Amino acid sequence: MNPDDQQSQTPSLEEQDQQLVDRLLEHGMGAHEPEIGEESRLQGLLGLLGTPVQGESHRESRADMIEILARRIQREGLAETRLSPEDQAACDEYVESGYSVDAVHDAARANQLEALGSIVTAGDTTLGSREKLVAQTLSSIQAHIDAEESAMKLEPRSGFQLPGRWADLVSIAAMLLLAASVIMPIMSGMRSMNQQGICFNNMNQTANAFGLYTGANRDMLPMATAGFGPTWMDVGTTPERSNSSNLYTLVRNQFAGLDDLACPSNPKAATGDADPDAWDWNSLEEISYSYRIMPQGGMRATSIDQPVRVVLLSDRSPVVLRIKANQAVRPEENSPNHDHTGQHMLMLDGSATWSDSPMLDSRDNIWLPRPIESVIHEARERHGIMTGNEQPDGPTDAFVGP
Amino acid sequence: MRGVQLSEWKEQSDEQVFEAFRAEEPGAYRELIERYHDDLLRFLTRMVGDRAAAEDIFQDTFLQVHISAHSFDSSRRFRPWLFTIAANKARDYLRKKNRRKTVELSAPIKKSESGASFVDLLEVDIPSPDTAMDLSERDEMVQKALDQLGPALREVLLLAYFQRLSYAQIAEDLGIPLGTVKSRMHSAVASFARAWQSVSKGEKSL
Repeated sequence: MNPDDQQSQTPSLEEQDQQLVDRLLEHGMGAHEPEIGEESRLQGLLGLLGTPVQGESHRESRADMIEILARRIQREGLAETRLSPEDQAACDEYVESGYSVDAVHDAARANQLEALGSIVTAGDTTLGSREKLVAQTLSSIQAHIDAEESAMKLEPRSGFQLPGRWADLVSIAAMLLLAASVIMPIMSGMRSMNQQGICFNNMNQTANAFGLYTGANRDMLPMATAGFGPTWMDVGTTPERSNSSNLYTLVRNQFAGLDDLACPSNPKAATGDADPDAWDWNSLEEISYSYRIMPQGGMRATSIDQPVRVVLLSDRSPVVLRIKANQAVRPEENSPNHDHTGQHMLMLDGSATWSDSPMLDSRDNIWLPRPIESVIHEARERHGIMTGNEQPDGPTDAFVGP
Repeated sequence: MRGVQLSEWKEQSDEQVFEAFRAEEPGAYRELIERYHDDLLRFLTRMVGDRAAAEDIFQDTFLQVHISAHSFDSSRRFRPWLFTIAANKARDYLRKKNRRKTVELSAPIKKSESGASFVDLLEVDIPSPDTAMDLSERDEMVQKALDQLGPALREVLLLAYFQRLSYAQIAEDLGIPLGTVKSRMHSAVASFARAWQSVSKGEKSL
C-alpha cells in the first residue's frame, strides 16, 4: 500500500456526528443534554469511546477525537448502515419486551425484526453426523477426566480410615523426625538445624490437623472454595480463588494455629493469633508452606497404598515466588526456607520427609504440573545445552556471547 | 433401560438435567449435549463462519461446562450460561484467527463516500428463506450475509436472536456499555437486513 494512499484515506465522521462531538466538547462531555432525535447518536458515540466520558477524553483535541471515533465506527462496521429512528424504537421495544412481536406498537416493523431473527437462527444442522459430534464431545470430556485422574494418581473409591491411620502415621512421622534429626547434615549449622527441626515439627502438627479435619469432613481435604481458576497464586487479593486459602481453612476452623504453619526461617511468616474473619494469609511472603493444588471439586484423603505417594504439603515453592517476582524460574531449585538445601514434604499418607531435591523418585517435580515438566524435558532432550556452535536465527534474533 | 431414562429426561428442565449430571446420574450429560446440539452448533457456525471450527468449539464448550460445573449457580438458567461460555470460546477462536491479519486491521480504512445511511425495515424486502432453496444453499447464503457484518456486530446480533437476551444482559455478558450494545444492535439489524436482501437477490455484495 502506498503511504500517500493511506494519508488520503483518513476516515471522517458524518457531518451530524461531527457537530455532536463539537457540542459535547463545548458542554464538557457528560453535561451535554441531547437534543430530540439525537439520543441514539449520542449513545453510540459515547459507547464507542468505551466509557461514559466525564473529563478524561475532552483533553483530546477535536480532530483527534473525530478521527478516533471515525476509525472505531469504521472498524465496528457501523458507518454504512443504521436503522431509521422508527426502526430503532421498534427494535428497542422488541428486545426489551423479551422479543415479543405483540409488545411492539409498530406491528409491521416488529414482523420484519422477527423475520430477520428467524433467518439468522435457522440453519442446516443435518450436515455431518449428530451422533458423531455428541460421541466426540463425550469422549473428549472422558479423555480430560482420565488425564486428570492419572495426573492425580488418585483412586477415590477408598475412603480414609482416619483416626487409627493418622495416629499410626504420626508415629511414623515422629520416628522419621528422630531419624532425620540424626542424619541432618552437620554443616548446615546448629541454627539451621534447629529451624529445620521446628519446621519438621510443624509438618507433624499439620499432619495431625489434616487428620482431624478430614475426619470431621467426610475425608475431604481442606478446601475454602468449590474451585478456582487460573489465579490460584494470588494470595490475599482474591482469597476466594487462591490455593493458600484452602490451606488457611485449617487455621480458620482452628484445626491448626498460624504458628504451626510458620517456618522459623521465613522472616515474614505470619504468627500469633489469627484474625477470626480472615480467609487467607495477607501476602505470598507470609506463607511458609505450599499446599497441594486442589483440583476442581476438592480431593479426598485416600489410603496409604497409593502407587505414587502424593505430596500434600512442602516447604514453600521457590517457583511461585520467582514467578510473582518476575524472575527466571529454575525448576530444580530447592525451597528458600532452608537456604535452598532441600525441603520437607508431608505426604498424603501422613509421613513427613526431607528431600534435597524437588524431584520425587517418580521424576515428578513437586513445583510443576506434568504438562510443563514435559515441555521442559522435551526442550532439553531436543536442544540440550549450548555447545558454542549455535548461530543467531537471522538478523532480528537478539543473541550475545562472551 | 436407556429408553426409560431418555423419556424421563424429556420431561425435565435443562436445570434439572444439569443437577442430575452434577449428582453423577448416568446419561444426564449426554442428554444436555443432545438437547443443545442443533441450537448451539448453529449459533457457533454463524458466529465463526466455519462448520469444522464450530464443532471444535462445541466440544470445548461442553468440556468447559463439565470442568466448571461446580461453579454454576443452580438458581440461574442453564441456557444463557452455556451460550456465554460458547460465545467466549468463539471470540477466542476469532481473535486467534484474526491475529494473523493485524496488518490488515491497521491498514487504512476506506472513506465513506456517502457517510452513514439509514435503513428503513419497511422499505427492505426481506425474502423468506425457505422459498425454493435447498437447506445447504440457504445456509450458505445466511452465512454469506452474516460475514458482511464485522465480528462485533455479528456477535450482538447472534446473542440477541439466539439467546433472546435483553440489552442489559448482553452488555453484562460482553462487558461493554449498554449504549454500545444498543447502537451495535441497531447497526447489526440494519446491516444484516441489507446484506440478506443483497445476497438473496444474487448480488455480489453491498
